[in-house]
Amino acid sequence: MLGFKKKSRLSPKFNLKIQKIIHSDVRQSTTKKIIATIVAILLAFMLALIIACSVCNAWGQFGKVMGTIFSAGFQNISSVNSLLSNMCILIVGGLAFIFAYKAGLFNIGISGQMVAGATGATLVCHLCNLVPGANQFVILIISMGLGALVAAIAGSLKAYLKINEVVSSIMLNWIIYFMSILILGMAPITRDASNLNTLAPADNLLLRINGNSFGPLIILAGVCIIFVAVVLNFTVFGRKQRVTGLSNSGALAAGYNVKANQIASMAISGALAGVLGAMLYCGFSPNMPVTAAAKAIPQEGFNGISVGLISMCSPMASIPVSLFFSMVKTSVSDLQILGIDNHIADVVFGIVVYGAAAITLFLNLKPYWLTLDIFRGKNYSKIKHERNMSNIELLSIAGDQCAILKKYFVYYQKHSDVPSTMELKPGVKIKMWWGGVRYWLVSQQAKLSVKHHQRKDLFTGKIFFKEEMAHIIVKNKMLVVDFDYKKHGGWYIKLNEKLVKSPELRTKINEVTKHNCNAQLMTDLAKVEKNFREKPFNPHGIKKTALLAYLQNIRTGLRYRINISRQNKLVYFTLQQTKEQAEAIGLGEIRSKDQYDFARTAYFKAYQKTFDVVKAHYDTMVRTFTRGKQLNIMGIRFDPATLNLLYMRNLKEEIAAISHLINCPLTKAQLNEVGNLVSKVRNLEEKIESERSQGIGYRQIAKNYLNKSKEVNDQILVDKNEINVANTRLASIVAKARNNEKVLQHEKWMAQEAANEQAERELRKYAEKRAKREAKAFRKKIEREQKEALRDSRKGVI
Amino acid sequence: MGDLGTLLDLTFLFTAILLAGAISGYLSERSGIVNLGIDGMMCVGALFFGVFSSSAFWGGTPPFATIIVALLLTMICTMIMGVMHAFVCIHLKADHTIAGTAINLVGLALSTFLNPTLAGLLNPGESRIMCKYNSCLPVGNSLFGSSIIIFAVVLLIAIAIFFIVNRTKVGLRFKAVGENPNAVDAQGISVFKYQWIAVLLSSAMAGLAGGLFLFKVTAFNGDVQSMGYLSLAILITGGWRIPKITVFAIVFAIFNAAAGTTTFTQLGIPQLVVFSIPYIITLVVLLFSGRKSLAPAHSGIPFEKGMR
Repeated sequence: MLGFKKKSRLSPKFNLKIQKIIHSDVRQSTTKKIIATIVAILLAFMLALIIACSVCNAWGQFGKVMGTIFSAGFQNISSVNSLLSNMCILIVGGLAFIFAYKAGLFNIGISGQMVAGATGATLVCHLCNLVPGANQFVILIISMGLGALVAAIAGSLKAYLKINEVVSSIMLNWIIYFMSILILGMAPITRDASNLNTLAPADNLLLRINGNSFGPLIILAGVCIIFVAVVLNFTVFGRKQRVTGLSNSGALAAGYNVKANQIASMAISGALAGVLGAMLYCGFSPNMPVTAAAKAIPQEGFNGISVGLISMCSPMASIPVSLFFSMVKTSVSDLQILGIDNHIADVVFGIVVYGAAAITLFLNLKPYWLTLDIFRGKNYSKIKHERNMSNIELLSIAGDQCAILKKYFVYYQKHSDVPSTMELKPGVKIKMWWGGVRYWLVSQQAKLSVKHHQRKDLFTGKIFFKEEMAHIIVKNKMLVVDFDYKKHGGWYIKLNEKLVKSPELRTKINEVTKHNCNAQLMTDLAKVEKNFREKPFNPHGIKKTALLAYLQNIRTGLRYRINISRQNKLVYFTLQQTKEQAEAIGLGEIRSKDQYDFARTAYFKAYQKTFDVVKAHYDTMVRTFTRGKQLNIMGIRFDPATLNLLYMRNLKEEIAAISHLINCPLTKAQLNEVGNLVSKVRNLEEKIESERSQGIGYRQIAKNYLNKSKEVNDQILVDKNEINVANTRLASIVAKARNNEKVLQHEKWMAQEAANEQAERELRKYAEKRAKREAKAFRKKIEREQKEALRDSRKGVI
Repeated sequence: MGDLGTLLDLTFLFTAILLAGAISGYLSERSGIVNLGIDGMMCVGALFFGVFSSSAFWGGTPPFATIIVALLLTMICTMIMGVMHAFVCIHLKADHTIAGTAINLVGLALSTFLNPTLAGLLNPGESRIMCKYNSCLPVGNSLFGSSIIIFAVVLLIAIAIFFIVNRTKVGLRFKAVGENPNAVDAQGISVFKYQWIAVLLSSAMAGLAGGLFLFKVTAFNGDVQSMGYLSLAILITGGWRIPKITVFAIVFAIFNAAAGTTTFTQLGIPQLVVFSIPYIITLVVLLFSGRKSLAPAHSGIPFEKGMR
């Protein structure tokens, strides 16, 4: 297939490590920078060549010009010398710039510092009688010291008076330039009459071997590179410099001495510029300018800025950049023969530095994604951008099949600061990072299929049923790491606990999966697992994991064919539940011939050993069922239909699993039961043997058993009907009884009510009578009192 | 007295060049874009002026009146450098110093590279570009030579810019862009527009300075003899204010002109010291005014809408 690269034969673990390195954010951004720089340099180079060719009317010689530029440095020893020396000079200039720039200072005064150092060195050479041999070090030290001094002035102006170092450096450049010419002109040095414009430091003090300067210069440049790279990357001092450069306020907050850092950084940069001066004037071209007629500061310092900028302030990157520039510079004299002006090198430098200024343009241009945007009408570049924002991200959308993933992502998003960008639409396209590996899962409408990622070295994935996913995660407390559809014809799951390093993530996964799993099933499985782990079971070389998965799948009602690979950790499943489901997840048969052969031999091996066992116990099982019981072993229930199917298929794993189940420790009751049955089974076995000797094959036996079991099933059905009828009858009787009871209760209640009413009535009558009586008595009493009162009054009157 | 006449004449000419260059920097920095590339722009300006003032361009020795057309064309063409600078600084938000350095390198390299070829095309047989107006407008001959006209024109431009920037609505907005672009943006005024116009005008002024530079030299060498850096020094010494800039332009021009004559050499001061005096003055002025920053508050910082 086009677009599919054959997967490497590296071990998956190692492959994972490589993937992590290749796709880490740091590595990617570095790669991007390198590509942008190369593109910028090439574009600038081509632009400069186009300008040169069109101006100098050299279009006919375009190829020749290109060839000259890349070959001029390798013609003879002098051109090689020129090439390498130029390269070293550019490198050291670049390093001087880089060191200050890392501390946030733009050292535009490299030229001035260089001239200052070289002037001092020249004066010392001419005026003092130095010992040959030691003098080169003296020159270097003087040059470095003067350069550092000049740079430190600019640095302290920046630190204490807040004068922009660019402005002060430019001013210092010119002052030093004029002053050095003045001093060199006034110094009592005997000059060569033929060359009054320039001055050479004394011959015996030059940084040269046999007239060629590249040896010493390469050593010096190498030392400088190592120094700058080590100091900036591996020392506290260098780190402080970088912090100062990245954020002044941050450095202040961290308690660094920002002023001292700035001055030190400028001083070291100046010292490097001093080395540059010594290399240039005492090494490669011993021509100090002595007249100010040109009024032009030496360009080497500015070239250093170019190198530093275009190599993005990386000391290592300055080497190839310098080599390229040096090639252009060395080829100038050869180009002049072709009719191109010798300032072409400056044009290239200038345009390249402009490219460095506009590097953001190259960093953000993504031609590949742009074309995709245009031709496919989707915003791929935006997607690409978003990918950089977080590790786990949904590009679009999930259907039913990946509900588990969705949940997982939602959960993940809730518990981490991943921006939630999920939408629900048909079709699935998920990109995710797990354990440092990127998956690219895509669905088309209802069916899920996998589109290979554009990068061929990535794993491809297949989406899975949600239960399956949950189980695997829960059971192994591991992540599903790798899905590979193409190679194996099914999908395999590699389980590796070490991949989930953070305990937080582990607990999260556990929580998520618990949420998605049936609690009962979990406990069942835990029991099974425990049993297996305590008692290693491996009678026929069948992997434990395979059986575990198998048991699990029986429980969930899904049926799998299990293939065991030679590799220990890999387990292949083939889903056989329904045709549609199998299609939906794109599963098929075994595809590789290796797999097929292995499975076949394993099958036949297992067959011989296991068939007898099953044959022995099959009847037991069937009988158990015929008594209306379900065989429940270790939390897993078997029904006759399943067993029939197993038997008929003669699948080794299933047989093995069942045989194991039967060998497993049972409850006492079950053991007794089985023990009773075993003797009968043996009889049966003998019978079978006899049948077999009579010529009836296993198939026939199986058929017989099947028929038998069918009869039993029918009987069970009949019994069931009877029971149902009886049950309905009973139910009706119970209902009637209940009804009667209700009626009785009602009558009782009614009678009670009537009695109560009567009692009340009687009470009322009695009360009335009593009231009348009392009233009569009361009246009589009052009358009597009245009479007495009357009598009394009469008495009184009398 | 002939010496003094030459000195005055050269002073006027140098003042014009330096003032134009400094105004170039002023326009750019007032809008928040640091323009370190004045020198490179001036080189390109000189190159273009060499083209537009040549007899090949006008079909014969050009009459003096055409100098206005030539200068305007130069200014317009130098805007290419302005476009380069503005695009990188405004839209790509690059470091202005890097962009300025790049412009310097590109300008200098292009002018030195193109100089001999163009000279050969314009005046066959010559290897350097020359200004044909030198004969119409001789410099350094008399007490009040023709360079006073050039000086007057540039001074007028300076005064006009001073009044526009400080007295008109557009000018004040322009100044505000350099001080607080977010405030300007909040008023609904396009910051990018002002910055673009400023950088383009800046490059045009640098082109003018470069063109005027051709009056100084008999033949163009490819570089402008550090006039661009001097202009930058004037801008800084003048504290980003037009009147002070003008004063310092005159002072620096005197020193520069005097270095060319024997005035100082007769007093026992070497020529090279005189050359470096302007830079020393700049450093000293910086030493005393460095603490209280006179520069536009937002110069050198890329403008971003979301930063307010």
